Amino acid sequence: MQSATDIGPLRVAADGATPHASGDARTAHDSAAANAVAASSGVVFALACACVIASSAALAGFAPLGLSVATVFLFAGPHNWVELRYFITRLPARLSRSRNFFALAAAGVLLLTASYAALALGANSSVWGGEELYAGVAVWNSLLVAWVAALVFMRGKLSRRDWAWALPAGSALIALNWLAPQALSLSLVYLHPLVALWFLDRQLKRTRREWRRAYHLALALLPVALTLLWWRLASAPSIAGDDAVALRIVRHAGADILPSVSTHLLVSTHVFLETLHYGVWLVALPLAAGAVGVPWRLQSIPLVRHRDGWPRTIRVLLAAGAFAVVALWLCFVKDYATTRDVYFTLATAHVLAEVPFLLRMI
Amino acid sequence: MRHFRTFAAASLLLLVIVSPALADIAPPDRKKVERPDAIRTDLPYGHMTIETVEGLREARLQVPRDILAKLAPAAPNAAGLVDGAPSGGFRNLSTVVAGLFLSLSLVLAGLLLVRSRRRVAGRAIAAAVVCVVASVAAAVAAYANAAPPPGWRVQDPGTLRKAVSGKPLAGSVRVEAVDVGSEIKLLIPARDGKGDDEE
Repeated sequence: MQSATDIGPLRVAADGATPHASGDARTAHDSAAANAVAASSGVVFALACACVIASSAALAGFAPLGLSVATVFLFAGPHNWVELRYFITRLPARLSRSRNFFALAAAGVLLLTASYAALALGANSSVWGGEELYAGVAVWNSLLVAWVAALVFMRGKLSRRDWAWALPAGSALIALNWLAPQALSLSLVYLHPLVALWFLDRQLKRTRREWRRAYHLALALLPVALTLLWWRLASAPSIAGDDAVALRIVRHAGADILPSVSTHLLVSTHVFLETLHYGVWLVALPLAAGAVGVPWRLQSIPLVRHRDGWPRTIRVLLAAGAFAVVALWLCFVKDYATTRDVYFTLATAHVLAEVPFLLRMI
Repeated sequence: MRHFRTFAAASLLLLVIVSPALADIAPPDRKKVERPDAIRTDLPYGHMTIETVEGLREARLQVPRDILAKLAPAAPNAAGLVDGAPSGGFRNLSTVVAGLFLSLSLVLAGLLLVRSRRRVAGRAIAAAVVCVVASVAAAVAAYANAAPPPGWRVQDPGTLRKAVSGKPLAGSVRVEAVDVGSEIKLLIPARDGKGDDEE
Protein backbone atom coordinates (compact mmCIF):
# COMPACT_ATOMS: atom_id res chain seq x y z
CA MET A 1 0.00 0.00 0.00
CA GLN A 2 2.83 2.37 0.65
CA SER A 3 6.12 2.93 -1.08
CA ALA A 4 9.35 1.99 0.62
CA THR A 5 10.50 5.59 0.65
CA ASP A 6 8.15 6.56 3.44
CA ILE A 7 9.17 3.78 5.82
CA GLY A 8 12.12 4.91 7.90
CA PRO A 9 13.16 1.62 9.52
CA LEU A 10 13.08 -0.28 6.21
CA ARG A 11 15.47 2.16 4.70
CA VAL A 12 17.80 1.71 7.64
CA ALA A 13 17.55 -2.07 7.37
CA ALA A 14 18.31 -1.94 3.66
CA ASP A 15 21.42 0.09 4.38
CA GLY A 16 22.54 -2.43 6.91
CA ALA A 17 21.68 -5.47 4.83
CA THR A 18 24.28 -4.86 2.13
CA PRO A 19 27.36 -3.62 3.90
CA HIS A 20 30.45 -2.98 1.87
CA ALA A 21 33.34 -5.14 2.91
CA SER A 22 35.54 -2.10 3.35
CA GLY A 23 33.04 0.00 5.17
CA ASP A 24 31.48 -2.21 7.82
CA ALA A 25 32.33 0.17 10.60
CA ARG A 26 31.08 3.18 8.64
CA THR A 27 27.81 1.41 7.79
CA ALA A 28 27.28 0.41 11.40
CA HIS A 29 27.97 3.98 12.41
CA ASP A 30 25.49 5.25 9.79
CA SER A 31 22.92 2.75 10.97
CA ALA A 32 23.32 3.80 14.58
CA ALA A 33 23.10 7.46 13.54
CA ALA A 34 19.93 6.75 11.57
CA ASN A 35 18.44 4.95 14.58
CA ALA A 36 19.33 7.88 16.80
CA VAL A 37 17.70 10.31 14.34
CA ALA A 38 14.60 8.11 14.21
CA ALA A 39 14.45 7.94 18.01
CA SER A 40 14.90 11.68 18.36
CA SER A 41 12.19 12.34 15.76
CA GLY A 42 9.93 10.06 17.82
CA VAL A 43 10.65 12.12 20.91
CA VAL A 44 9.87 15.32 18.98
CA PHE A 45 6.62 13.75 17.79
CA ALA A 46 5.68 12.74 21.36
CA LEU A 47 6.51 16.22 22.66
CA ALA A 48 4.36 17.78 19.94
CA CYS A 49 1.52 15.40 20.84
CA ALA A 50 1.88 16.28 24.53
CA CYS A 51 1.83 20.03 23.74
CA VAL A 52 -1.28 19.63 21.59
CA ILE A 53 -3.05 17.61 24.30
CA ALA A 54 -2.16 20.11 27.03
CA SER A 55 -3.01 23.24 25.01
CA SER A 56 -6.27 21.73 23.71
CA ALA A 57 -7.35 20.78 27.22
CA ALA A 58 -6.49 24.24 28.55
CA LEU A 59 -8.33 26.04 25.73
CA ALA A 60 -11.31 23.71 26.02
CA GLY A 61 -11.48 24.35 29.75
CA PHE A 62 -11.22 28.13 29.52
CA ALA A 63 -13.25 28.87 26.38
CA PRO A 64 -15.31 25.82 25.44
CA LEU A 65 -17.94 27.61 23.35
CA GLY A 66 -15.46 29.74 21.43
CA LEU A 67 -13.18 26.79 20.73
CA SER A 68 -16.10 24.66 19.60
CA VAL A 69 -17.35 27.31 17.17
CA ALA A 70 -13.85 27.99 15.82
CA THR A 71 -12.71 24.38 15.40
CA VAL A 72 -15.91 23.21 13.72
CA PHE A 73 -15.86 26.22 11.38
CA LEU A 74 -12.21 25.81 10.44
CA PHE A 75 -11.58 22.08 10.51
CA ALA A 76 -14.86 20.18 10.11
CA GLY A 77 -14.85 20.33 6.32
CA PRO A 78 -11.10 19.88 5.69
CA HIS A 79 -10.83 16.91 8.06
CA ASN A 80 -13.66 15.19 6.19
CA TRP A 81 -11.80 15.72 2.93
CA VAL A 82 -8.57 14.34 4.39
CA GLU A 83 -10.47 11.32 5.73
CA LEU A 84 -11.98 10.74 2.29
CA ARG A 85 -8.52 10.97 0.73
CA TYR A 86 -7.10 8.59 3.32
CA PHE A 87 -9.86 6.02 2.88
CA ILE A 88 -9.54 6.12 -0.90
CA THR A 89 -5.82 5.51 -0.48
CA ARG A 90 -6.50 2.51 1.71
CA LEU A 91 -9.02 1.05 -0.74
CA PRO A 92 -7.39 -1.76 -2.75
CA ALA A 93 -7.61 -1.61 -6.55
CA ARG A 94 -8.82 -5.21 -6.59
CA LEU A 95 -11.29 -6.17 -3.90
CA SER A 96 -11.07 -9.94 -4.58
CA ARG A 97 -11.97 -11.73 -1.29
CA SER A 98 -12.90 -8.46 0.42
CA ARG A 99 -15.69 -7.75 -2.07
CA ASN A 100 -18.51 -8.78 0.31
CA PHE A 101 -16.90 -6.94 3.22
CA PHE A 102 -16.74 -3.67 1.29
CA ALA A 103 -20.21 -4.20 -0.19
CA LEU A 104 -21.68 -4.55 3.31
CA ALA A 105 -19.60 -1.58 4.50
CA ALA A 106 -20.80 0.69 1.66
CA ALA A 107 -24.42 -0.39 2.01
CA GLY A 108 -24.28 0.22 5.76
CA VAL A 109 -22.72 3.68 5.40
CA LEU A 110 -25.32 4.76 2.83
CA LEU A 111 -28.41 3.30 4.52
CA LEU A 112 -27.46 4.29 8.07
CA THR A 113 -26.58 7.85 7.00
CA ALA A 114 -29.84 8.20 5.07
CA SER A 115 -31.90 6.80 7.94
CA TYR A 116 -30.09 9.05 10.44
CA ALA A 117 -30.93 12.09 8.32
CA ALA A 118 -34.56 10.91 8.15
CA LEU A 119 -34.61 10.54 11.94
CA ALA A 120 -33.22 14.07 12.34
CA LEU A 121 -35.93 15.39 10.03
CA GLY A 122 -38.56 13.46 11.97
CA ALA A 123 -37.22 14.83 15.24
CA ASN A 124 -37.57 18.40 13.99
CA SER A 125 -41.07 17.90 12.62
CA SER A 126 -44.29 17.61 14.57
CA VAL A 127 -45.11 14.26 12.96
CA TRP A 128 -43.29 12.20 15.59
CA GLY A 129 -43.86 12.30 19.30
CA GLY A 130 -41.24 11.51 21.90
CA GLU A 131 -42.10 7.81 21.99
CA GLU A 132 -41.72 7.32 18.24
CA LEU A 133 -38.46 9.21 18.29
CA TYR A 134 -37.09 7.06 21.11
CA ALA A 135 -38.06 3.89 19.28
CA GLY A 136 -36.52 5.29 16.08
CA VAL A 137 -33.22 6.04 17.82
CA ALA A 138 -33.19 2.59 19.44
CA VAL A 139 -33.83 0.90 16.08
CA TRP A 140 -31.10 2.98 14.39
CA ASN A 141 -28.61 2.16 17.16
CA SER A 142 -29.52 -1.54 16.87
CA LEU A 143 -28.91 -1.50 13.11
CA LEU A 144 -25.59 0.25 13.69
CA VAL A 145 -24.42 -2.30 16.26
CA ALA A 146 -25.59 -5.21 14.08
CA TRP A 147 -23.72 -3.74 11.10
CA VAL A 148 -20.51 -3.29 13.10
CA ALA A 149 -20.79 -6.82 14.55
CA ALA A 150 -21.30 -8.26 11.06
CA LEU A 151 -18.26 -6.34 9.75
CA VAL A 152 -16.11 -7.55 12.66
CA PHE A 153 -17.24 -11.12 12.04
CA MET A 154 -16.53 -10.89 8.29
CA ARG A 155 -13.16 -9.26 8.84
CA GLY A 156 -12.27 -12.04 11.25
CA LYS A 157 -13.07 -14.62 8.60
CA LEU A 158 -11.03 -12.76 5.97
CA SER A 159 -8.00 -12.51 8.22
CA ARG A 160 -8.44 -16.08 9.52
CA ARG A 161 -9.12 -14.94 13.05
CA ASP A 162 -11.98 -16.12 15.20
CA TRP A 163 -13.96 -12.97 15.79
CA ALA A 164 -17.30 -14.71 16.23
CA TRP A 165 -17.48 -13.22 19.73
CA ALA A 166 -18.70 -10.07 17.97
CA LEU A 167 -22.13 -11.67 17.50
CA PRO A 168 -23.02 -12.32 21.17
CA ALA A 169 -21.28 -9.09 22.21
CA GLY A 170 -23.27 -7.17 19.58
CA SER A 171 -26.52 -8.76 20.75
CA ALA A 172 -25.75 -7.80 24.35
CA LEU A 173 -24.97 -4.23 23.29
CA ILE A 174 -28.24 -4.02 21.35
CA ALA A 175 -30.07 -5.19 24.48
CA LEU A 176 -28.42 -2.49 26.59
CA ASN A 177 -29.17 0.05 23.87
CA TRP A 178 -32.89 -0.67 24.15
CA LEU A 179 -32.74 0.06 27.87
CA ALA A 180 -31.05 3.44 27.31
CA PRO A 181 -30.82 4.39 23.63
CA GLN A 182 -29.80 7.95 24.41
CA ALA A 183 -26.78 6.67 26.35
CA LEU A 184 -25.44 4.80 23.32
CA SER A 185 -25.98 7.84 21.09
CA LEU A 186 -24.09 10.03 23.54
CA SER A 187 -21.28 7.51 23.87
CA LEU A 188 -20.86 7.65 20.08
CA VAL A 189 -20.47 11.43 20.32
CA TYR A 190 -17.64 11.03 22.84
CA LEU A 191 -16.00 7.87 21.50
CA HIS A 192 -15.82 8.87 17.84
CA PRO A 193 -13.01 11.41 18.37
CA LEU A 194 -10.93 8.70 20.05
CA VAL A 195 -11.14 6.46 16.98
CA ALA A 196 -8.78 8.86 15.21
CA LEU A 197 -6.14 8.09 17.83
CA TRP A 198 -6.50 4.39 17.04
CA PHE A 199 -6.12 5.10 13.31
CA LEU A 200 -2.94 7.02 14.06
CA ASP A 201 -1.58 4.13 16.08
CA ARG A 202 -2.22 1.67 13.22
CA GLN A 203 -0.65 4.06 10.71
CA LEU A 204 2.42 4.50 12.90
CA LYS A 205 2.74 0.74 13.11
CA ARG A 206 2.89 0.63 9.32
CA THR A 207 5.07 3.57 8.48
CA ARG A 208 6.71 5.07 11.58
CA ARG A 209 7.32 2.25 13.99
CA GLU A 210 10.03 4.22 15.76
CA TRP A 211 7.46 6.86 16.80
CA ARG A 212 4.97 4.41 18.21
CA ARG A 213 6.40 4.00 21.69
CA ALA A 214 6.74 7.73 22.13
CA TYR A 215 3.17 8.14 20.86
CA HIS A 216 1.88 5.65 23.45
CA LEU A 217 3.66 7.62 26.17
CA ALA A 218 2.07 10.84 24.91
CA LEU A 219 -1.32 9.11 24.86
CA ALA A 220 -0.96 8.42 28.59
CA LEU A 221 -1.43 12.17 29.02
CA LEU A 222 -4.96 11.94 27.64
CA PRO A 223 -6.58 10.42 30.77
CA VAL A 224 -4.53 12.82 32.88
CA ALA A 225 -5.86 15.80 30.91
CA LEU A 226 -9.43 14.48 31.10
CA THR A 227 -9.16 13.88 34.84
CA LEU A 228 -7.83 17.41 35.34
CA LEU A 229 -10.68 18.84 33.25
CA TRP A 230 -13.31 16.91 35.18
CA TRP A 231 -11.75 17.76 38.52
CA ARG A 232 -11.56 21.49 37.76
CA LEU A 233 -14.97 21.76 36.10
CA ALA A 234 -17.09 19.28 38.08
CA SER A 235 -18.68 22.06 40.09
CA ALA A 236 -18.28 24.84 37.52
CA PRO A 237 -21.43 26.85 36.84
CA SER A 238 -23.18 25.88 33.65
CA ILE A 239 -22.38 27.78 30.50
CA ALA A 240 -24.21 31.06 30.27
CA GLY A 241 -25.70 31.70 26.88
CA ASP A 242 -29.09 30.99 25.44
CA ASP A 243 -28.50 31.83 21.79
CA ALA A 244 -29.08 29.23 19.08
CA VAL A 245 -25.42 28.30 18.69
CA ALA A 246 -24.77 27.88 22.43
CA LEU A 247 -27.93 25.79 22.83
CA ARG A 248 -26.89 23.50 19.99
CA ILE A 249 -23.38 23.02 21.34
CA VAL A 250 -24.64 22.31 24.85
CA ARG A 251 -27.26 19.83 23.64
CA HIS A 252 -24.76 18.13 21.33
CA ALA A 253 -22.50 17.55 24.36
CA GLY A 254 -25.36 15.76 26.14
CA ALA A 255 -26.76 18.42 28.50
CA ASP A 256 -30.26 16.93 28.18
CA ILE A 257 -29.12 13.42 28.95
CA LEU A 258 -26.89 14.34 31.88
CA PRO A 259 -28.79 17.25 33.45
CA SER A 260 -26.94 17.04 36.76
CA VAL A 261 -23.54 17.49 35.10
CA SER A 262 -22.20 20.99 34.51
CA THR A 263 -22.61 21.94 30.85
CA HIS A 264 -19.22 23.63 31.08
CA LEU A 265 -17.68 20.24 31.86
CA LEU A 266 -19.60 18.47 29.10
CA VAL A 267 -18.80 20.98 26.38
CA SER A 268 -15.16 21.25 27.44
CA THR A 269 -14.71 17.49 27.34
CA HIS A 270 -16.38 17.19 23.96
CA VAL A 271 -14.54 20.06 22.32
CA PHE A 272 -11.22 18.83 23.75
CA LEU A 273 -11.71 15.41 22.16
CA GLU A 274 -12.95 16.95 18.92
CA THR A 275 -9.88 19.19 18.71
CA LEU A 276 -7.63 16.15 19.10
CA HIS A 277 -9.66 14.36 16.43
CA TYR A 278 -9.17 17.22 13.96
CA GLY A 279 -5.50 17.47 14.83
CA VAL A 280 -4.91 13.78 14.19
CA TRP A 281 -6.65 13.75 10.82
CA LEU A 282 -5.30 17.03 9.53
CA VAL A 283 -1.72 16.91 10.79
CA ALA A 284 -0.60 13.72 12.51
CA LEU A 285 -1.93 11.11 10.10
CA PRO A 286 -0.62 12.76 6.89
CA LEU A 287 2.70 13.24 8.70
CA ALA A 288 2.79 9.60 9.77
CA ALA A 289 1.78 8.36 6.32
CA GLY A 290 4.75 10.16 4.74
CA ALA A 291 4.75 10.52 0.95
CA VAL A 292 1.50 8.55 0.65
CA GLY A 293 -0.26 11.08 2.83
CA VAL A 294 0.58 14.15 0.77
CA PRO A 295 -2.89 15.19 -0.40
CA TRP A 296 -2.00 16.41 -3.91
CA ARG A 297 0.10 13.35 -4.84
CA LEU A 298 -2.73 11.37 -6.37
CA GLN A 299 -0.36 8.83 -7.93
CA SER A 300 0.11 7.32 -4.45
CA ILE A 301 -3.53 6.17 -4.56
CA PRO A 302 -3.82 2.57 -5.81
CA LEU A 303 -7.17 3.29 -7.47
CA VAL A 304 -5.52 6.05 -9.52
CA ARG A 305 -2.27 4.24 -10.26
CA HIS A 306 -3.57 0.77 -11.04
CA ARG A 307 -4.68 -0.08 -14.57
CA ASP A 308 -7.93 -1.53 -13.14
CA GLY A 309 -8.54 1.61 -11.07
CA TRP A 310 -10.84 4.57 -11.64
CA PRO A 311 -8.45 7.54 -11.89
CA ARG A 312 -11.00 9.92 -13.38
CA THR A 313 -13.71 9.06 -10.84
CA ILE A 314 -11.30 9.49 -7.95
CA ARG A 315 -10.08 12.86 -9.25
CA VAL A 316 -13.67 14.08 -9.70
CA LEU A 317 -14.63 12.79 -6.25
CA LEU A 318 -11.73 14.57 -4.55
CA ALA A 319 -12.38 17.79 -6.51
CA ALA A 320 -16.07 17.63 -5.53
CA GLY A 321 -14.99 17.09 -1.92
CA ALA A 322 -12.76 20.16 -2.03
CA PHE A 323 -15.63 22.16 -3.50
CA ALA A 324 -17.90 20.91 -0.69
CA VAL A 325 -15.37 22.10 1.90
CA VAL A 326 -15.43 25.63 0.47
CA ALA A 327 -19.25 25.52 0.24
CA LEU A 328 -19.40 24.44 3.90
CA TRP A 329 -17.28 27.43 4.94
CA LEU A 330 -19.57 29.79 3.03
CA CYS A 331 -22.65 28.21 4.61
CA PHE A 332 -21.07 28.55 8.07
CA VAL A 333 -20.52 32.26 7.41
CA LYS A 334 -24.11 32.66 6.20
CA ASP A 335 -25.90 30.70 8.97
CA TYR A 336 -23.63 28.97 11.45
CA ALA A 337 -26.32 27.32 13.60
CA THR A 338 -28.28 25.69 10.76
CA THR A 339 -25.12 24.64 8.92
CA ARG A 340 -23.82 23.06 12.11
CA ASP A 341 -27.02 21.01 12.40
CA VAL A 342 -26.88 19.87 8.78
CA TYR A 343 -23.16 19.15 8.99
CA PHE A 344 -23.37 16.97 12.10
CA THR A 345 -26.25 15.04 10.59
CA LEU A 346 -24.49 14.30 7.30
CA ALA A 347 -21.11 13.83 8.97
CA THR A 348 -22.48 10.56 10.33
CA ALA A 349 -21.24 9.13 7.03
CA HIS A 350 -17.59 9.70 7.95
CA VAL A 351 -18.13 8.31 11.44
CA LEU A 352 -19.52 5.13 9.91
CA ALA A 353 -16.89 4.92 7.16
CA GLU A 354 -14.18 4.79 9.80
CA VAL A 355 -15.43 1.39 11.04
CA PRO A 356 -14.58 -0.81 8.02
CA PHE A 357 -11.28 0.94 7.33
CA LEU A 358 -10.18 0.66 10.95
CA LEU A 359 -11.10 -3.04 10.91
CA ARG A 360 -9.01 -3.46 7.75
CA MET A 361 -6.03 -1.97 9.57
CA ILE A 362 -6.29 -4.16 12.66
CA MET B 1 -22.20 -21.48 5.58
CA ARG B 2 -21.63 -23.25 8.91
CA HIS B 3 -21.89 -19.93 10.74
CA PHE B 4 -25.15 -19.09 9.02
CA ARG B 5 -26.53 -22.49 10.04
CA THR B 6 -25.42 -21.85 13.61
CA PHE B 7 -27.01 -18.43 13.54
CA ALA B 8 -30.26 -19.81 12.08
CA ALA B 9 -30.34 -22.56 14.73
CA ALA B 10 -29.76 -19.98 17.46
CA SER B 11 -32.55 -17.77 16.13
CA LEU B 12 -34.95 -20.74 15.94
CA LEU B 13 -34.06 -21.79 19.48
CA LEU B 14 -34.62 -18.25 20.67
CA LEU B 15 -38.03 -18.05 19.01
CA VAL B 16 -39.07 -21.34 20.61
CA ILE B 17 -37.89 -20.15 24.01
CA VAL B 18 -39.71 -16.84 23.86
CA SER B 19 -42.94 -18.17 22.34
CA PRO B 20 -44.72 -18.32 25.73
CA ALA B 21 -43.81 -14.69 26.40
CA LEU B 22 -46.70 -12.32 26.83
CA ALA B 23 -45.15 -9.65 24.69
CA ASP B 24 -48.09 -9.49 22.29
CA ILE B 25 -50.67 -8.89 25.00
CA ALA B 26 -51.60 -5.28 25.50
CA PRO B 27 -49.99 -3.84 28.62
CA PRO B 28 -52.29 -2.87 31.49
CA ASP B 29 -53.70 0.63 31.36
CA ARG B 30 -51.35 2.52 33.61
CA LYS B 31 -52.35 6.11 33.23
CA LYS B 32 -50.08 8.42 35.11
CA VAL B 33 -51.89 9.86 38.09
CA GLU B 34 -50.22 12.63 40.06
CA ARG B 35 -50.12 11.48 43.67
CA PRO B 36 -49.06 13.73 46.53
CA ASP B 37 -46.54 11.19 47.78
CA ALA B 38 -44.93 10.73 44.36
CA ILE B 39 -41.24 11.63 44.08
CA ARG B 40 -40.94 13.96 41.11
CA THR B 41 -37.51 12.90 39.87
CA ASP B 42 -38.14 14.91 36.71
CA LEU B 43 -37.88 18.16 38.67
CA PRO B 44 -34.59 19.78 39.66
CA TYR B 45 -33.73 19.95 43.32
CA GLY B 46 -31.66 22.10 45.63
CA HIS B 47 -31.12 23.04 49.24
CA MET B 48 -33.31 25.78 50.62
CA THR B 49 -32.95 28.13 53.58
CA ILE B 50 -35.34 30.66 55.03
CA GLU B 51 -33.59 33.62 56.53
CA THR B 52 -34.73 36.81 58.13
CA VAL B 53 -32.79 39.80 56.89
CA GLU B 54 -32.51 43.05 58.80
CA GLY B 55 -33.47 46.03 56.70
CA LEU B 56 -35.12 44.00 53.96
CA ARG B 57 -38.47 45.54 53.01
CA GLU B 58 -40.03 42.80 50.97
CA ALA B 59 -39.71 39.03 50.90
CA ARG B 60 -37.46 37.69 48.21
CA LEU B 61 -37.07 34.18 46.79
CA GLN B 62 -33.61 33.64 45.39
CA VAL B 63 -33.25 30.79 42.93
CA PRO B 64 -29.86 29.86 41.43
CA ARG B 65 -29.80 30.37 37.70
CA ASP B 66 -28.63 26.75 37.22
CA ILE B 67 -31.89 25.45 38.66
CA LEU B 68 -33.94 27.85 36.56
CA ALA B 69 -32.08 26.69 33.45
CA LYS B 70 -33.12 23.11 34.18
CA LEU B 71 -36.73 24.25 34.33
CA ALA B 72 -36.56 25.97 30.94
CA PRO B 73 -38.60 24.36 28.17
CA ALA B 74 -36.65 22.20 25.75
CA ALA B 75 -35.46 23.91 22.59
CA PRO B 76 -36.12 22.38 19.17
CA ASN B 77 -33.95 19.35 18.56
CA ALA B 78 -30.61 20.04 16.98
CA ALA B 79 -27.51 18.15 16.00
CA GLY B 80 -28.45 14.89 17.57
CA LEU B 81 -31.34 12.67 18.29
CA VAL B 82 -31.15 12.32 21.98
CA ASP B 83 -33.34 14.15 24.44
CA GLY B 84 -36.04 13.82 27.04
CA ALA B 85 -37.07 10.73 28.90
CA PRO B 86 -38.71 7.61 27.54
CA SER B 87 -42.43 7.17 28.07
CA GLY B 88 -44.17 4.17 29.56
CA GLY B 89 -45.07 2.67 26.17
CA PHE B 90 -41.48 2.76 25.01
CA ARG B 91 -40.29 1.25 28.29
CA ASN B 92 -42.54 -1.77 27.79
CA LEU B 93 -41.30 -2.25 24.24
CA SER B 94 -37.67 -1.71 25.22
CA THR B 95 -37.87 -4.28 28.01
CA VAL B 96 -39.20 -6.90 25.59
CA VAL B 97 -36.62 -6.17 22.88
CA ALA B 98 -33.76 -5.97 25.39
CA GLY B 99 -34.82 -9.32 26.82
CA LEU B 100 -34.89 -10.86 23.35
CA PHE B 101 -31.41 -9.67 22.48
CA LEU B 102 -29.99 -10.64 25.87
CA SER B 103 -31.37 -14.14 25.31
CA LEU B 104 -29.89 -14.17 21.83
CA SER B 105 -26.50 -13.07 23.14
CA LEU B 106 -26.52 -15.80 25.79
CA VAL B 107 -27.52 -18.44 23.23
CA LEU B 108 -24.80 -17.30 20.82
CA ALA B 109 -22.21 -17.20 23.57
CA GLY B 110 -23.24 -20.68 24.61
CA LEU B 111 -22.91 -21.92 21.05
CA LEU B 112 -19.45 -20.40 20.85
CA LEU B 113 -18.47 -22.24 24.02
CA VAL B 114 -19.87 -25.50 22.66
CA ARG B 115 -18.05 -24.97 19.38
CA SER B 116 -14.78 -24.53 21.18
CA ARG B 117 -15.38 -28.05 22.68
CA ARG B 118 -12.81 -29.06 25.24
CA ARG B 119 -10.50 -26.28 24.27
CA VAL B 120 -12.23 -23.54 26.21
CA ALA B 121 -11.25 -20.59 24.11
CA GLY B 122 -10.38 -17.39 25.90
CA ARG B 123 -12.46 -15.39 23.48
CA ALA B 124 -15.52 -17.55 24.04
CA ILE B 125 -15.11 -17.00 27.76
CA ALA B 126 -14.74 -13.28 27.10
CA ALA B 127 -17.95 -13.32 25.04
CA ALA B 128 -19.75 -15.19 27.82
CA VAL B 129 -18.45 -12.71 30.38
CA VAL B 130 -19.69 -9.83 28.21
CA CYS B 131 -23.14 -11.43 28.05
CA VAL B 132 -23.26 -12.07 31.79
CA VAL B 133 -22.12 -8.49 32.50
CA ALA B 134 -24.75 -7.17 30.10
CA SER B 135 -27.40 -9.32 31.78
CA VAL B 136 -26.36 -8.11 35.21
CA ALA B 137 -26.32 -4.50 34.01
CA ALA B 138 -29.77 -4.93 32.54
CA ALA B 139 -31.04 -6.54 35.72
CA VAL B 140 -29.57 -3.72 37.77
CA ALA B 141 -31.19 -1.18 35.46
CA ALA B 142 -34.51 -2.97 35.81
CA TYR B 143 -34.54 -3.79 39.53
CA ALA B 144 -31.79 -1.69 41.03
CA ASN B 145 -31.49 -2.00 44.77
CA ALA B 146 -28.59 0.37 45.16
CA ALA B 147 -29.02 3.78 46.64
CA PRO B 148 -30.36 6.08 43.95
CA PRO B 149 -28.42 9.20 42.99
CA PRO B 150 -29.27 12.39 44.95
CA GLY B 151 -31.79 13.64 42.40
CA TRP B 152 -33.81 10.43 42.73
CA ARG B 153 -33.98 10.34 46.51
CA VAL B 154 -36.73 11.84 48.62
CA GLN B 155 -35.57 15.38 49.32
CA ASP B 156 -35.38 15.89 53.08
CA PRO B 157 -37.18 19.10 54.09
CA GLY B 158 -34.99 19.29 57.24
CA THR B 159 -35.87 22.08 59.61
CA LEU B 160 -38.05 23.79 57.02
CA ARG B 161 -40.99 22.01 58.69
CA LYS B 162 -40.63 24.41 61.62
CA ALA B 163 -41.54 27.26 59.29
CA VAL B 164 -45.13 26.01 59.17
CA SER B 165 -47.32 25.85 62.22
CA GLY B 166 -50.47 24.26 60.85
CA LYS B 167 -51.80 27.50 59.51
CA PRO B 168 -50.82 28.40 55.96
CA LEU B 169 -48.50 31.38 55.73
CA ALA B 170 -48.97 33.73 52.82
CA GLY B 171 -47.38 36.83 51.40
CA SER B 172 -45.86 38.25 48.26
CA VAL B 173 -42.28 37.57 47.26
CA ARG B 174 -39.93 38.84 44.62
CA VAL B 175 -38.42 36.01 42.58
CA GLU B 176 -34.80 36.64 41.78
CA ALA B 177 -32.36 34.55 39.72
CA VAL B 178 -28.90 34.61 41.27
CA ASP B 179 -25.62 33.60 39.66
CA VAL B 180 -23.69 32.77 42.81
CA GLY B 181 -24.30 29.73 44.97
CA SER B 182 -26.44 26.64 44.59
CA GLU B 183 -28.92 27.24 47.39
CA ILE B 184 -32.49 28.46 47.11
CA LYS B 185 -33.12 31.20 49.66
CA LEU B 186 -36.33 32.72 50.91
CA LEU B 187 -35.41 36.03 52.44
CA ILE B 188 -37.98 37.47 54.84
CA PRO B 189 -37.82 41.05 56.11
CA ALA B 190 -36.99 41.06 59.80
CA ARG B 191 -39.44 43.87 60.55
CA ASP B 192 -42.74 45.00 59.11
CA GLY B 193 -42.22 47.46 56.31
CA LYS B 194 -44.76 49.58 54.45
CA GLY B 195 -45.39 47.77 51.20
CA ASP B 196 -46.57 50.86 49.38
CA ASP B 197 -43.41 52.86 50.02
CA GLU B 198 -41.09 53.61 47.16
CA GLU B 199 -37.77 51.86 47.45
